[in-house]
Amino acid sequence: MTSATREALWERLRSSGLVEGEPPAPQGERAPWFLRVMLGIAGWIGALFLLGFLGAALPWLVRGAASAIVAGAAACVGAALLFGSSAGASGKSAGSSPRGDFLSQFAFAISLTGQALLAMGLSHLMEHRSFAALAFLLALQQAVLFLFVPSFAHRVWCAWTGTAAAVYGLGQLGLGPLAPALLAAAFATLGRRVYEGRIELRSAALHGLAISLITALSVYGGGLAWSTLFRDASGPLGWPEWVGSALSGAVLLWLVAVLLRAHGVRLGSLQARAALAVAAVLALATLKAPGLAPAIVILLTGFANGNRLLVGAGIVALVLYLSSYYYLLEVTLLTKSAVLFFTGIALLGARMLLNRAWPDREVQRA
Amino acid sequence: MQPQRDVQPRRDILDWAAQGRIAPGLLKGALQAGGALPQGIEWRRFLDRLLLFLGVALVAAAIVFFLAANWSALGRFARFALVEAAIAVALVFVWRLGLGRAGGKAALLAAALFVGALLALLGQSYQTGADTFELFAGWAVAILPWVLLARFPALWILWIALVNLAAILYYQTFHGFFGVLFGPERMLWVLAVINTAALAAWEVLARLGIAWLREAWAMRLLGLSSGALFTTLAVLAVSGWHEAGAWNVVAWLAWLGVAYLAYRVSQLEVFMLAWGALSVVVVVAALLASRLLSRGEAGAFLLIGVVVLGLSAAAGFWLRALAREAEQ
Repeated sequence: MTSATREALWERLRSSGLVEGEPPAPQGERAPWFLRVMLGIAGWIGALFLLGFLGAALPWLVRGAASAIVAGAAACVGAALLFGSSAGASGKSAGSSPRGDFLSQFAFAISLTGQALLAMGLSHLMEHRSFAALAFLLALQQAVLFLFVPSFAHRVWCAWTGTAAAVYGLGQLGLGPLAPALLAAAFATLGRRVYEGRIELRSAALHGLAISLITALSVYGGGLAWSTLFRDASGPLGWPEWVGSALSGAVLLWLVAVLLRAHGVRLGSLQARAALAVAAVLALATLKAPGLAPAIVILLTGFANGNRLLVGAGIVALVLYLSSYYYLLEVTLLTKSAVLFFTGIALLGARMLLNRAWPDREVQRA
Repeated sequence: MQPQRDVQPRRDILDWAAQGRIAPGLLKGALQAGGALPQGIEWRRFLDRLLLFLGVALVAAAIVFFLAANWSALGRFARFALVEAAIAVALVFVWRLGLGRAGGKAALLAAALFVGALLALLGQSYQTGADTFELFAGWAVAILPWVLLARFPALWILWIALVNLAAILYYQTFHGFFGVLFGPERMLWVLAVINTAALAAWEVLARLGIAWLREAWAMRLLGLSSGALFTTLAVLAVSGWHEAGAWNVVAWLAWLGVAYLAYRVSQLEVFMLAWGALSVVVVVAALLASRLLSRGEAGAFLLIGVVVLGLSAAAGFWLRALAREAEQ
């Protein structure tokens, strides 16, 4: 955006009484998402070598439970302090000077190394007694780091890996099929409130949950990964599958109702009934295609928040889910075909009605 | 690149909120007033596209799943009739709606998918002896006229994906799975050339003024695949994997140079430059690891880790400055 349009935007907000004074000078604090991803991947590679260094220089540290936990915790605390000082080195925001950039990148890698050490230590401590308990402990570890390490990219990482660990733990307890629904519920709830305060924390959690949900959907759709991670896929559907699928559908219906209300549409109106009917069709299809509703929840939440990255994530979730759905063993190909066909026809019919009831000349020309 | 009308006000408003210039309680109102959140007509258009493309995708997937189910109650000719009818119906929609409208484009996309299903059914029913790569190559050839006519980026991406799949399956057929896994160099070269040629053609035509090609996501996808392939070739070479040639490194350096000219000198595209920077970090890490880690010394691990972090931090600083420049 040019400075002229930025000033025009500021003026528009000032005339609405939402801001005061002169527009701030552009500081470019918010790095584009792909830059954060690039730095995150590089930090991850750096952390692997730092971990290799510890393993080669101090093998006893990695092999002992207590030593790994203490060293891991120390590394995470050190990383949190480094993140703080990188913000100091750059003025107001982390990583906008060469020194600040290096410090925050180094802090990220140190923290990842610390997390790996903590995970190893906890694993030694549990002596492989319970994978579920270990997974929930790791989820708790990531939740603590999410709260106390002051970096957006680090928080996204913690939200992603923490929830992924919890999903794995649920799978170990035979409750894996509930995971997409629980993640979708958390995602939709957070998505409605992301701009209502503590935006740094909420936005990081929202993006981490989206990645976790996409991962869970891909795993859930694919019978192979599902059977090895969560349970024996050749057996009949149990209650977690039904409850999980029904809950996912309910989350979608709830989200549609909330969005309608937020835009001043009465739930009894024709518009609202039509929207809820389409959501109900998708919720019904979700009973046999469990990833459908959660993927659409990502898409709708992303669009409602004006967040194109999350809209893209929703499209990726749908494509990945439909690709892996083919391999889901619990439902026959004929059933899958029927579910997809009738749902698709219903959606196309709904579009036809939408165009009749609410014509948009520009769309019809496009 | 496509103008990002709805991204920028959101980023600016969030930046101002982070600077404390917008009170937390007023943020949502500011986003609404700034046009960063969708209102009635935007929702209307979004739902139109969602219902259309999701509906078409589900119906297309349903027909593919149905054929794969190999339902014994339905004879061979009935199956052919089903797919051919699906193609015919999709083409009728294309004819009625025209390729200028989203509905026509979606119908053509469905028809292109059904052609693949028809070819698969042909192979399944008559055991033609054709290899799988021939199915994908035939599919790509069969839909090429539609792809040329449609002026639809998603269809072009589907077509390029089919060509990629055909090339991968060709190498799988003649070199076996382990041939692909352990001797991938020639296949990677072919894929790198295909994807880079596609990206170059796309960029040139978009810059010559073909507006419908200015789809950032499609160009980025091609840039990612092209860069990933050249990076892999370079990593194989510097790691000494199966006597991979020095030409891999030369090609990777050339790719970096051309990318710099195209996305920094000629036109600024920070996404592609970030991808190039990550590629440099990965290849340098692989080079140092292959030279220094043979004896597993701790110091070597530390040195490589610090180099990786230093390089990525420097790249981050440079790219952040470019991102600011792009916004001016």
